Amino acid sequence: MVDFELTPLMRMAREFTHNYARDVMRPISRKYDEEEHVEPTEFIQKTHEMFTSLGFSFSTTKAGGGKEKEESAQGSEKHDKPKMEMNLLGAIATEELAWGCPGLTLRIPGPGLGGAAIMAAATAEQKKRFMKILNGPKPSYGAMALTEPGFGSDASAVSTTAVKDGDYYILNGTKIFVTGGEMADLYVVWATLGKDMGRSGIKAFVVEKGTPGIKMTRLEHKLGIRASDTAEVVLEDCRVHKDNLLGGEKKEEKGFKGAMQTFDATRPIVAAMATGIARASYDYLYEDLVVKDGLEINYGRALYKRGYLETVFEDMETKINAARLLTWKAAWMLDHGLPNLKEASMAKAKAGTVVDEVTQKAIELYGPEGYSRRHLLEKWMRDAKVYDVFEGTGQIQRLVIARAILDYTRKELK
Amino acid sequence: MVSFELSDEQKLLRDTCRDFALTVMRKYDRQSDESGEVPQDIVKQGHGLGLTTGYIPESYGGPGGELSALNNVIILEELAYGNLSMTLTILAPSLMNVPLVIHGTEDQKKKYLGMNKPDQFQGLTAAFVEPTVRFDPETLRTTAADELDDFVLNGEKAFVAVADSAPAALVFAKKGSGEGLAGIDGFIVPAGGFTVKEREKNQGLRALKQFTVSLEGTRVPRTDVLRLSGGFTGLLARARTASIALTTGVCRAAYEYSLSYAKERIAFGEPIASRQSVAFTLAEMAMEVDAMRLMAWKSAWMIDKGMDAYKEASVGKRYAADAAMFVTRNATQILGGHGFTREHPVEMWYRDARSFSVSEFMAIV
Repeated sequence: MVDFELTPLMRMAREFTHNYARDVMRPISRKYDEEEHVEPTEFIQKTHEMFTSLGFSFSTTKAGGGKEKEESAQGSEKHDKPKMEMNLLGAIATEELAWGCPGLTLRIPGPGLGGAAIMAAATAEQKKRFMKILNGPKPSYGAMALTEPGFGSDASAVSTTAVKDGDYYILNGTKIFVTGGEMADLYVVWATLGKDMGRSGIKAFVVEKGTPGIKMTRLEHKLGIRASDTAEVVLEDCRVHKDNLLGGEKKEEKGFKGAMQTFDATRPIVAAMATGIARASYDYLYEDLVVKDGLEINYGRALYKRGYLETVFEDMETKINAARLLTWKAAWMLDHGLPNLKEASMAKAKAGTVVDEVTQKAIELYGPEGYSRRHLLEKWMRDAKVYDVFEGTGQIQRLVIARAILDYTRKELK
Repeated sequence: MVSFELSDEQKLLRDTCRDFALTVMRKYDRQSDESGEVPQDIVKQGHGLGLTTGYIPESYGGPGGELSALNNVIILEELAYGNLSMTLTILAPSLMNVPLVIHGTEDQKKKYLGMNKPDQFQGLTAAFVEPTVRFDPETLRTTAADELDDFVLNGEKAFVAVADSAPAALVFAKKGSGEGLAGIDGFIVPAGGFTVKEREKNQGLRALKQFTVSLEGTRVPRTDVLRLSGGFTGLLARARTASIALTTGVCRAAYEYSLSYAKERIAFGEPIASRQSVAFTLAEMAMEVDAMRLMAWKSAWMIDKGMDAYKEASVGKRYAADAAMFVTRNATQILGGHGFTREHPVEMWYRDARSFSVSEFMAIV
């Protein structure tokens, strides 16, 4: 039965994360934007303790379950539904955190993108082993190392090599745009067993921090989400045990497909972040223009009676609604075991567009002051841009959607 | 608990309406558009589905089903997916029935809900929009003067569906003067109390019979005043929610048609859908259709929960109406020159879709 009512747990999570975003993240948001590459050590520790004490954590990419399932007993005391809807819960919490600061949200310790990949592609034994590291007593983070200098969207072009040597694989290559690459405790590194094998030769390896041969070589200087570190990671004869090959050696099909399945879980979460940023801009504007300055917004009025600002406010609001609804649906589908490839891309594509439009427009409506770094509006517009880029560009999302609706293969629609 | 899954009953409702849309409505859509008439047989069959009477309580001669905005948006999307003119014709009685069920007195319900016949379409309707440039719901010009036992109505209404065959119409007007939606009430006027004037000639919705209607000193007894006590915004929220659902249906029709066409149409040795310029447009269209459906559901859900859905429905209606222009224009574009001809239905959907941003109170949930 169609329903939009959040469970008590979700409402509680939303309220908690909202307050945390407002009281803890907002006040330091500008600082870590200006001081790019300075680690928000206190924030990381504090956030880790806070979420650990709750019995479950709200990371940006908790998608897929894992720890949540084990701990659902704790989390579901006031909540009689048997199944934890971790993806929807994650989307709701993440929207709030990103409302506080998207850069810091990405800096929150937890399984991260690496964890999401593990949940999508690992064996049961691997899940247990690696998630234990990622959910340990110390703040930890799982990074995803997929992109290389030579490719971005075309993930099948992996050129980092994995050569079998007894019980080990030897990895060589350079990975870039690794979110959380500096703070990571483990990396999920995508490499090829041989270019001639095509997609089936692409495998994911978990490389733990401190493994000889892996090192972070550079941090990117970015337009936005500056509080989040984006690293270049180099692998030089990095030896990884075969037990760290995600999905095991035999499961041939899990490699590339596994990487792609990660996105089914992460795209709704990324879309939720984008929605949160758009809402941050909207709320900021609303507070100053409507609440303080007395601009009247009469919803649903005849067009000729509405001022330009009123119309723009309505547009922003309804676009944010559209992004959120598509996001919730995509997350809900995954929670209920429904294939959500198309819907996850729709959410991401919509939210990625909406957040750019809303944050740009918000500055315009605020006037010259909106351009000033005294306010966060300009920061959110810079932060927003990456949401139409990472986890698959807007174009890639449309490609995924188009192939799904047309029932076309990669060959039929390039 | 959040869910996007229809109940079994709703799925059945959806499938029944979809089947009717595809097997009956679509067969006669072009013919109806050209002739300006919905075939009587389709009206009869559509009425036979019981969609405008299902929620009438047993005590007033109905089957006593619940009045569910959510069920109604599901119905509206499917029927509009078939044909908009036919949908608005068949569902016109709800424009009067729904406000009566919600706000009517015992006597009004007995008298007017009783006019509905399960086996025969009665063109009950409502008159809201007025024939004025820059029509504004907040500033209705039709007046209702208080004179002893009666109210006396004067004014003109426009785009009144099926007015020529309506045994009664619910006329919206204000008792006092001034702006705002809160002061609007409904006045039940049986046939004879209003003069049906010329038939509207619209860009689209050509098979839907709409008329300008005038009220010249029409006396409405106090007992026939549907007192809304500020409830008009609630009715408008229901009508705007209906509009989102109708928009979704028309857009889905245009989207699906252009998608199939794009897979069949060969250019430069390949289906045109295999080019990103076409495929991405289709992806965008699919996204908008999904987004508007969710907006209709959310708004309807709020209504059923007893929440104030006015804002949600209003911004949603505007969003959907804008997106409808995007979707139907591109559906036409994907068909190229063929989209411009009346051999294909996309130009009809494009014209029909244009109505959403300018219409008000066309249907209700």
